[in-house]
Amino acid sequence: MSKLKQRRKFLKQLCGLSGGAVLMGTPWAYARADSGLDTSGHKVLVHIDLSGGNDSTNMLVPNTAAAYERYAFLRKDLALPKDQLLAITPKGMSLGEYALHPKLKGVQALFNEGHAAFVANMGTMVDLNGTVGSPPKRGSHSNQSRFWQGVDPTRAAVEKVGWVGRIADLDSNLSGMSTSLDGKNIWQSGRQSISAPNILADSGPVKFHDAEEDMQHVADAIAADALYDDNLLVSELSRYRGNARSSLEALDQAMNTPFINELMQDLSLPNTKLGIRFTTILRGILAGTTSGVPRQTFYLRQGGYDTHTAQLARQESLYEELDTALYAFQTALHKLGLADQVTTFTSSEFGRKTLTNGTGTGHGWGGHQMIIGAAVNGGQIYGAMPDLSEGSTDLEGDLGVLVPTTAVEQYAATLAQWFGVPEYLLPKVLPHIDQFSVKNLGFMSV
Amino acid sequence: MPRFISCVALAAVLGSGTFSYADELPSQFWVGLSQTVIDPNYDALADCKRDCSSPERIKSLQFWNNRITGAAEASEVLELTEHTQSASRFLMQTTFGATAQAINELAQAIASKGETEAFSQWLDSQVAVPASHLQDLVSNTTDHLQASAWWHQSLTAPDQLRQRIAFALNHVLTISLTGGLTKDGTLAEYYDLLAKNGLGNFRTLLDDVTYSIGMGIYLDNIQNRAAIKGKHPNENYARELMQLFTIGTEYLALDGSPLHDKNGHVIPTYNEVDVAELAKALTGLARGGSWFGRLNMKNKFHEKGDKTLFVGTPQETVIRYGADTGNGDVKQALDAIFNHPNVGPFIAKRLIQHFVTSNPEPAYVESVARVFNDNGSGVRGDMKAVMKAVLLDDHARDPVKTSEFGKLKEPVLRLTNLLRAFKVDPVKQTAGQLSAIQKPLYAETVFSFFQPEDAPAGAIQEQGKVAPEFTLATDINLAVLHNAFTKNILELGLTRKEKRKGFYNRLMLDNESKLAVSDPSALLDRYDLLLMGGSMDVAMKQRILDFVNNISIDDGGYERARKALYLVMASAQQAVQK
Repeated sequence: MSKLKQRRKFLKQLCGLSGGAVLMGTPWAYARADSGLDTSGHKVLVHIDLSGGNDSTNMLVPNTAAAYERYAFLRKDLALPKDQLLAITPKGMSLGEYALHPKLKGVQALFNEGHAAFVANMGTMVDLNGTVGSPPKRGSHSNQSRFWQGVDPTRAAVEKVGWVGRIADLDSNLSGMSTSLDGKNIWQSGRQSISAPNILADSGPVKFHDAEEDMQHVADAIAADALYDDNLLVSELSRYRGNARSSLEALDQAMNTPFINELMQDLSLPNTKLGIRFTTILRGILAGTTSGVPRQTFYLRQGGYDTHTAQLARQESLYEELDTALYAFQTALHKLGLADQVTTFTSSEFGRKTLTNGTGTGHGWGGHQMIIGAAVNGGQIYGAMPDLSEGSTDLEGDLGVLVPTTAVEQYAATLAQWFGVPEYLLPKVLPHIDQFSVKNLGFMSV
Repeated sequence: MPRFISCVALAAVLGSGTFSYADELPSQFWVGLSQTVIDPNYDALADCKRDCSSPERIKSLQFWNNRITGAAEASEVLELTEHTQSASRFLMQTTFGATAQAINELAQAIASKGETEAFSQWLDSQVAVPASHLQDLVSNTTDHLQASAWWHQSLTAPDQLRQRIAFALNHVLTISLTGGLTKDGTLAEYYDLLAKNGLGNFRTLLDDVTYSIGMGIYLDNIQNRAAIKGKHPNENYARELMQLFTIGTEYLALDGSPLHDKNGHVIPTYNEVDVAELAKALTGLARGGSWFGRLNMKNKFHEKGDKTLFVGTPQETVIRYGADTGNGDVKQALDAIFNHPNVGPFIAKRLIQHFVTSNPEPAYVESVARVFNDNGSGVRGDMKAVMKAVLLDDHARDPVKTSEFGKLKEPVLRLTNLLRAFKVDPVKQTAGQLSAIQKPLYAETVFSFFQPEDAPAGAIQEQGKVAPEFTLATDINLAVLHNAFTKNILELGLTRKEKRKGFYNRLMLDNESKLAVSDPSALLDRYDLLLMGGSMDVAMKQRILDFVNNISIDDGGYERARKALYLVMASAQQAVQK
């Protein structure tokens, strides 16, 4: 198309929003394409990034007498009192063999109902050669977070894409499927900019306030000029803004219908930052179901896990907010009949050292994560819980860094397969998955 | 009021002799409200309704009652000469926003001395201006004043360059009131030391930062103590000191590009053992109950024995535990970091990205890094020389304008541009509207608001370029920023509270309105020079002129002035500094 034609098209689109696809396509309005992905039904992934490096050694605690004693010896002042722990009996283990942090009451209930599972001692395990080993830049928040979400340390410097972004790249039906409550992130970014997530505020979309009509025409014309500005930053900003304007408008319409408003009235979520954001996610999921969208992903971050100091108190309040919000979200999904379709999982850029600096812990490597939903084969710990005994090969260095025994790739592959990625397409989504013989950890029902 | 026909009409409708904002104010009647609605002589102290006897409250009110940001500077007539554009562009890069007076003065200096000399002397004169201190504006007992004080200082301080450097450095050596640090005054003291050392020496900066109570609290180094009974040193500060503040994670060439080993891999600058060793060397600093001043070394909490940094690299350094014990270790550790060859290119590139362009040519980084390594008199880390190199280099002053040249202005800087240009008072409300996007001094983490390697999806990333500030340009943030401009320039959608006199800030467009009547083209030139560094192209100017010329001047030109300003500020063209 010539520049002139493109420009005329752009102006037409800007001036008549109802004219359908505006630049990136109205979110959640799809045509079919044959990508090899299974996009039947409606499935949703909700990713909670426990940002800062969650100390999961105090999330999932050894609870037999001997194992607890060793745990307490290593953790010193950070050891949680045994009588406050919430015991669980994972499938295939003895009664009360592990226990949860005292604030994870909701997770305990979900685990007992079979709607929550854990994957033990997981981490980034691909090195710069693309083989299994120690990843580069261990201990760096930004880099490890990038490797968790992008699962490709060999290309992380040149490619800012993540595994959900790569899924969206595979199938034009899925562009616009991703929504972030926490700004840009690697996980949802694809090579194609149409794969980028919609970004919302905590409480949902905010619309652009337009000026009076005649002035808005002039503003639009200047924006159209900017699209073809010689300067790349100007043209990209103008493109971003055009996309933002149309997508926020469309999202606002889709998420605030009378039908959805009515459904939301009966639900109760906590009035916390996480609770408010889960409410927005519920609206997004409902909008997805009512518009017949096949797949959706949501990303949100709970910060504050970088507990170098005051770990006990900080983790306690973080877990309390997390647990309350997760449980209320899950209850709401059951009420709406959506629990089978929505799977929520955690990540964290690294676990923390087993040994303490007094009141906190330094950056580690491996850590445990949880998966919640009715499609989860729950009540079980997948992978191998680390052996904390003296001389254990699961511990590295003077301060007891957990050496991961399950890779991020395997975690992502299990979720991706549930989401509709067939095994033969996994390498397109997870470039180093073939380094691992087990490509499905089994925590999702087929 | 007689000047404003639409106001008179409206007043008649409302049946009131004295006009006031009405909640149902129809939006088409916004025109010409400028002089009458908000009392320019509003006295916040006289209007004080609560806590009026509290000294803190009075201080706060006096602070906000200190009206009119740069009134004289902003209202001056711009003299258009062949040097005006160049002066405007330079001030866009070096201050929180150009004012008419500053542009005139600099343009005159260029006319008499030439650009190089004029810019160089301007920088010297800025170095000579006494430092403004955020600490002077801050209450130590309340938290709410902190961000407000930052806005006030950044908008009004005469040492604009120093304040811009402090702002840039707080993106690199970040501390924030989000997190463990809650004392305003402690953060203000830290910000002031960034300002001071930003034109001093980088080695002193590292020393001041390491011994500052603010940083000690923010990254936990005050809790970093020698190993005892199964408890080990706290590594938080040690790690970020290397990763974010000085050398980064991989070896750099002098031109800022990563070096590679024989397998083509980047070469790590340090490993986890180095982090632990550095943490040991930095143990024992304590604040001793004070919120101000320097941390003290408590040798009984300092880890004994030698420590080795950068093992197996050319920079391997053994820190000898000796007579000077704790402080001696800190000095040796900071020396080792300061002398690492990465610091020059690392800091050079960050400063260039904050002041001039997101994607500097390697030769530009190299020439600045060379100055960092040696200012010409054998001094390493001379920040005044480094800043001169950043701002006076041909790559800054007379760049080849490649398509990616320049940088997106972060939201805060777009707003300061606007506020400094039009003598605004007070800034409180407008600043508040941005707090969900970018609240200065309240970054979410030590990674600040964006990272130097950030690149948005699309053409920028595809071409292998970066654009760090785009991280803040999310859908939602773009809408919030756009709406803030709509609200503040067009004065639409104000809440009841905002309509209270003296509370809502407004742009004083008296001079602009006169120009809008007498010479609309000159009005556009004025906006271009105050807000766009003189980069507005002919097409954009013409589009706005065509529109503005059709607006009635019955209100004295206010509607023209406001609408033209809105069209400039709402544009992507204005958002990019070129």
